[in-house]
Amino acid sequence: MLRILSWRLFTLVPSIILLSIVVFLALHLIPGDPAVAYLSASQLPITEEAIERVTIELGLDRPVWEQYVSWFSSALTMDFGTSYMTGEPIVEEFLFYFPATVELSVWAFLTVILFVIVLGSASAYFRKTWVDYGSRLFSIVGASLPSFWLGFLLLYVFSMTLGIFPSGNRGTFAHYVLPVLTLAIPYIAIYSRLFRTSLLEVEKLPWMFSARARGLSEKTIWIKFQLRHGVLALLPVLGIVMGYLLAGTFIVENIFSWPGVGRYMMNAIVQRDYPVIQFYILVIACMFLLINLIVDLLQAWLDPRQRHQKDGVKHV
Amino acid sequence: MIEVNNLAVKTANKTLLEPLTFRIQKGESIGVLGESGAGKTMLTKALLQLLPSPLQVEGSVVVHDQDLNSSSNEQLRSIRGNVLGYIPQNVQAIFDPYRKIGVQMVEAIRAHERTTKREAKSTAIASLREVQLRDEHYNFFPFQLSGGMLQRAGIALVSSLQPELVIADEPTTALDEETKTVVLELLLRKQRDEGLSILFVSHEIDVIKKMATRILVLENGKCVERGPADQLFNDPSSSRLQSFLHYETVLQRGAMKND
Repeated sequence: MLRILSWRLFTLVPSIILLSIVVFLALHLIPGDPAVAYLSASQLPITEEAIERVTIELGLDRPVWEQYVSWFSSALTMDFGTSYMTGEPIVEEFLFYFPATVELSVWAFLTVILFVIVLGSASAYFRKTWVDYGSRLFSIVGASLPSFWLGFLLLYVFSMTLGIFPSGNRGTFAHYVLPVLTLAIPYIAIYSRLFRTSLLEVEKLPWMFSARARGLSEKTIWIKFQLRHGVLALLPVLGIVMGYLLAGTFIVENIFSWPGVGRYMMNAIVQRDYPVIQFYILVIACMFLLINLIVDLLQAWLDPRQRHQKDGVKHV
Repeated sequence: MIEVNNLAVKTANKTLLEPLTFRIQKGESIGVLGESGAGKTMLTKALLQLLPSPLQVEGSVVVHDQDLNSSSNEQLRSIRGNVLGYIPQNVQAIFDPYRKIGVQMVEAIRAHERTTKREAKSTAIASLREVQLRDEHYNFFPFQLSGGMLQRAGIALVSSLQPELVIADEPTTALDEETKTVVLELLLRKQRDEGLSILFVSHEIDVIKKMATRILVLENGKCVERGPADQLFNDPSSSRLQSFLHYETVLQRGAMKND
C-alpha cells in the first residue's frame, strides 16, 4: 500500500508540471490579445499606447517559455497573479468562492453514491420486475434531460409552483435540495444502470456458485460478495463523477444563484480574464489527478490482489 | 443416504439430462464417468438444486427422507454444505478472491452452526491442518496459494462443514499428478475414517478406478451403462466405456514406451 502511494505521489509531480505547460500554452493559442482583454476587463480605454504599456507590464513581450517559467515559479509560491477584472489576488478570490462549490459538489456526490447503490441494487435484485423497468425509465429520462432544463423544471415545480424549496442562494438544508438534485440526477440515471449491470455480472462469477453450494444465505452472498464486487467496479467511475461535479457547477450555480466558483468563472470567461481562467483549469485538472489518486488507493485497499501486486504473488 | 429418482433436466423443448435413478449409501463412493458435454456437471448442479432458472428439474432427490425438489430455500440452504458438500473443478471457483480463506471458512461454518467466531476459527484451522496446510494459510488470500494448495483448502472448507456426501466435480482435472494423488488420498481417507459418501465426477478413467466402487457412464445426457466398477471395467458393454478403456490402454502403452 505504501509503495503504491509513494509511486503515485512521485508520478503526480511530472503530471502536474506537464499539465501546467499544456494549460499555459493552450491559453496562449486562443485568438485575442491578452493586453486588450486586460484593458477591457479593467474598463480602461483601449489605445495603441495603453496596449503597448500593458504588454510590457504583463511581460507579454517576452518569449512564451520565459513567461511560463516566470508564471510557474510564482505559482510555486501560490502566487497566480491578480484578476484583470478586480485587481485582487486570484487565489484569495478563488478561496472565497470555492467552499460553496465544494459543498454543493460533495452533497451531490453523496446523493449520487446513495441513489446509484440503492437504485442499482433494487433493479438488479428485482430484475425484470416493475422496479427494474421503473428504474430503466428513470435512467432514460434522467440521462436525456440537459442540466439547465432540469434545473429550471425543478425550480418551476418545487419552488415557484409548490413553494416547497427556496429558489436560490445558500443557507439552510432546503437551499441545497434543488441544486443538488439538478447536479446528481443525470449521474444517478447513468450510473445506477451501470451498477445494476456490474451486480449482474458478479452473479455469473464461478465462486458465486460455490458460495451457494456451501449453504450461505442469499443475504450474506448479496452483501459480502455481490455488493462488494459491484462497488469495486463502480469506484473508478465515481472518481470521475466527483471531478465532473466539481468542474461542472457552472450552469447549476447560475440557475440557483449559488455563490460558488462556477459563477465567478462564468464572469471570468465572459471578460476574458486569462489569469483566472488559467488558474481555474489548472486547479480542476489537479483535482482530477488527486481524485484519481484517492480512487487508486481505495481500490488497492479494497482489492487485495492489487495490494499484493508489487510484492508478486506468493505461493507459499 | 441420498436417493435420486428419475432425475431429469429439461428446457422448454429439449431434454438435457435423461431420467436417472441411483442411490448412494453412507460411506459409498460412486463414480460418474463421461466425456465433456455428457451432462456430468449438470447432474451435480441438479443434485444441489442450483441450476439456472430456465432449466427445469424433474424427478426427486431425497436426502434423509426430504425431497429437495419440493424443499424451501431455507431448507435447501441448510442441506447445502452441511449435508451435501461440493468441490468444483476450477480451483479459482472455490473462494472469493478478495477475501481471506479463513474468513470464508468461518463464514461457512457459522452459516450452519451456532458457534462463536473463535470456535469456528479453531475448526477452520483444524481442517486446514488435516489437508496438510499450515495455520498461517488461514490468513492467506486465495491468489496467494498454488492450484494444488487451493484445492486442498477447498477440501478443508468442505470438510469443516462435516457433510455426509461430497459431490466432487472433476476436482483433480487441473492438478499435476503429485497433487492429484494427495487430493484423492485425502478424500479416500475421509471416506474410510469418517464414513463419508462421495459422488466423484470425472472424465479420467484412472481416477474413477481409484475412487469408485460403483460407476455410472454418461453420454450425451444419458446413462449408457452402470454397475459395480470391477465388473464394468472387466466387461464393458457400452461403446463409450469400451472407448474410455481403449484410450487408457493406448496411453499406458505410450507411457511404458517412454519409460
